[in-house]
Amino acid sequence: MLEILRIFREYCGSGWYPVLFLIALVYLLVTEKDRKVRIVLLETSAVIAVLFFLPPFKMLMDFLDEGTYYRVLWLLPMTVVTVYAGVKLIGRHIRLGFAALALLLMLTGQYVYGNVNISRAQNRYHIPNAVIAICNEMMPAEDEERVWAVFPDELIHYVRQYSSKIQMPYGREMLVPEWGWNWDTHPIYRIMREQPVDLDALTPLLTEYNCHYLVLNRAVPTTGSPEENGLVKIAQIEAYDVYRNESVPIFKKQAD
Amino acid sequence: MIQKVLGLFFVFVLAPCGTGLLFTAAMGERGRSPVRLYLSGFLTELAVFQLIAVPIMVREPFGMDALVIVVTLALALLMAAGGFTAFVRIKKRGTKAAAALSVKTCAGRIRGLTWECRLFWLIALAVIGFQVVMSYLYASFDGDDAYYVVQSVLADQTGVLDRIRPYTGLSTDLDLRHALAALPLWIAYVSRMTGIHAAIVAHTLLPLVLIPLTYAGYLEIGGKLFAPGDVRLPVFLALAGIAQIFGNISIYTNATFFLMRTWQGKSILANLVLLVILWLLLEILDEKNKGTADGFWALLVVVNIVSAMMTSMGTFLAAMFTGIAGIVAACRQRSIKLLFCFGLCCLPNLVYLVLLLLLA
Repeated sequence: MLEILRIFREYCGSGWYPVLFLIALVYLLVTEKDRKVRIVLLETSAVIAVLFFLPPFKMLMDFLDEGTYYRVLWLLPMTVVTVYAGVKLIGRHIRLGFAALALLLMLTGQYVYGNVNISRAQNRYHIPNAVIAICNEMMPAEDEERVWAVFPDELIHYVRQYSSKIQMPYGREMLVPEWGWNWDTHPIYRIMREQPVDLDALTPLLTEYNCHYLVLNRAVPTTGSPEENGLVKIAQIEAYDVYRNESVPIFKKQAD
Repeated sequence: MIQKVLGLFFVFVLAPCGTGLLFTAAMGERGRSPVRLYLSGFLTELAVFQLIAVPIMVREPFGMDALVIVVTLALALLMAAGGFTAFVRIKKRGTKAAAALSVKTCAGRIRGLTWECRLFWLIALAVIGFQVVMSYLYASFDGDDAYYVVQSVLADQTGVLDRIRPYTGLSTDLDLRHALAALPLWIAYVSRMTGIHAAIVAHTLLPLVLIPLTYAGYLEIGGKLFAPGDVRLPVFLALAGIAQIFGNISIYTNATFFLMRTWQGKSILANLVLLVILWLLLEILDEKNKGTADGFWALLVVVNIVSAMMTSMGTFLAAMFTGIAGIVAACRQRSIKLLFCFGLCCLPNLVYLVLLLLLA
């Protein structure tokens, strides 16, 4: 039960919308006369809300898909019920009521476009320009096989959204500590996540894993010389240096 | 450029509108509107894709080319069937049959509105338009894109269906738990048809369609709560829009998913799909629709199939929602028949759930 309450609290987060919904639900249960509206919006919601707080129901949902119990709350039509109750409540005072309700929703919620994960798009891909430029720099020619490259953490999510021709020895799975099954298991990542990045230790691994390219953020310090390790700088794009590991050849595609 | 225009026209105009004509006849006189035509057609397009994509994906690792051909043929057939039924209807009943869909009728409805009502419609449209523009101008970072968007990119660029690890590029076995939800393949299909990169389709193009479409769901629900021409309908729509813009109270809410991950299956399920189910339940249980609800029942089956396309658990959530509403309705109306009908609508979900439990 405590676990369910925790999930509900996390769903509510920093806003009051679920509280507004519960008030609206009670108000409509008392005042709503339309049978279909009562059944679909109110009584069904009440049943789902009760089910959500029942531990056996959570056990069943966990059996089907663990870790997504909060999605049961998606079945509650919070916006529809809250707004419908609000519009009913203001009656004929439409203009003033609309302004008051709009203000209430703004003050009790959180502005989505103020979220730290939203930023001005740099292009129509909605991928950072730097990623596109780096990928284009290392893109294999039509007659060449796909290439392997190692990227700093902040670029890993985007690379393969742009091109399937650039492969990585590890990906997003290294960045999510909660996924204990493979967190921190790749030898290259163990070096890449350290500061400074030890190029003397990294380069033999790049060759062992057939990585053609290495991308480093210039702000991250390194030890060891790239040149002495066979890494040739081929481009400097925004905050990143792109190196070619010359020990690993790029193969031509074999004719079918 | 020609491919882009033709592909977009086919996927987002011709196919949904043509297919939607199959439903309008079965929704009764009151049920016909351009919004319903498009909404039902678009959802049917997705359902058809899901039904075709899953078997092809399971049997053919390099099946993207086949998938594009079969889906396009199926949609063309449905479009033709929709066009034919509309033609027969007009032939039988004259142009009256298409009157509800005509520009003249829509213009007449606008002329019949009060100035206050028109003002609130403008506010509602501005609130929705703001979200559409923001979805284009602003990028939202979400880690799951490294899986789902990459699946679309892989299917489009390599032709391989769900056999490559998105994170690295290494080969892998079919991950059925994720693969049964075929939305990433539909994005790849749109990409193939239009020649637009799959990441652009997902991040830039789809929100332009999905955000207005989700509000079409709110509009239909509002239409069941308020009388036509009632000023409270646009007020409802505008407030629902504001609730979405300020609904980012946590990372889990429908609103957060709606505006920050618009293109992902989870978001489409939590918003468009569940809203359409809500609307259909209101229609089906409306006494005034007695005898003319066949189209709504059929669309409920379609939406339940679409739910499976969005996320592996979507099929269970949609069935649960439909089932609970069905049980409540059957108890309140003391009708076993109603319960049976709702149960039938959930059959596709049951099949998918069994597949999921057995294979994944």
